[in-house]
Amino acid sequence: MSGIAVGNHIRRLRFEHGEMTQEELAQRVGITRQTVIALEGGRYAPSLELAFRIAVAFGVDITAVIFWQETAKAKKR
Amino acid sequence: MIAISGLLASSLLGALLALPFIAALPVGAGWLGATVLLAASAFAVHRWMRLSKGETGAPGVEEKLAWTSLVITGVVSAYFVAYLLLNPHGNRVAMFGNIAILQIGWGIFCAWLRRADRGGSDERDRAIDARAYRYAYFGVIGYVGCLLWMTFTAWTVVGVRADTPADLALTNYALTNYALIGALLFGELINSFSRLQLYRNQRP
Repeated sequence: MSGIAVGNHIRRLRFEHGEMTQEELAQRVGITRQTVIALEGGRYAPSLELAFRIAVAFGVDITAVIFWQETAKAKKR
Repeated sequence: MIAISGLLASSLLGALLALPFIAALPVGAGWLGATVLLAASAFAVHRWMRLSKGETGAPGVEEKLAWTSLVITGVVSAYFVAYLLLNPHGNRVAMFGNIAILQIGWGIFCAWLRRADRGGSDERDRAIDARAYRYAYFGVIGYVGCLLWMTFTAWTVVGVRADTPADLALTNYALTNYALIGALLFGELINSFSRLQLYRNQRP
């Protein structure tokens, strides 16, 4: 994850759920495939609402989707 | 970097369209530019279709629209400035006619792109959009500041002649219009360039 304080396990969750495709996840939560790619690449932190929608799509708790990670930028804040 | 290359290429095309010998051709510069842009669009669509099958995927529809916006604004801006500099006594109606042809062609292409790409937009697109508009706002403020500075430091504009007070009034009127059009183009350039940079490199 590059410089973003909120990390995610979306890629792992996708593979744990029958190798769900990025397109399929995108359709389930109502976002574009590019946003899924950006989330997995650590270039975008989801809003709370989106994180909840992803958690519901995978049938897990929100803490299994996103987590806080200490980065130099986050420490400055 | 690729956004800068796109901007430079489109600006070059715009400047070429303003060359006096092209303005003298029977087929208007607008149609010529639209044809070149149509060929470039076909190439881009083909490339996006290939990318959509890959790991990184094709750009989303909003990023594609940002690309088209950057290119058309680059062409129109360069054409506008180059035409005023290279053809100081040229036909202004023809110039705006050519710009209209380019803009209408772009509008049709954007409408087709939106229809063909069913991806839509989401919260990331909206966040990027908001940030790009903020940058564009600051850019336009800077542009206006530069114009005011140029006005108060008695800059002269190449190709503008004002032999009588009536000419001077007309010149001032024309310059004001050009400055306003320039503000629109400059704001749109910053907006589309920022959007592309945010899509490619940064987080919103």
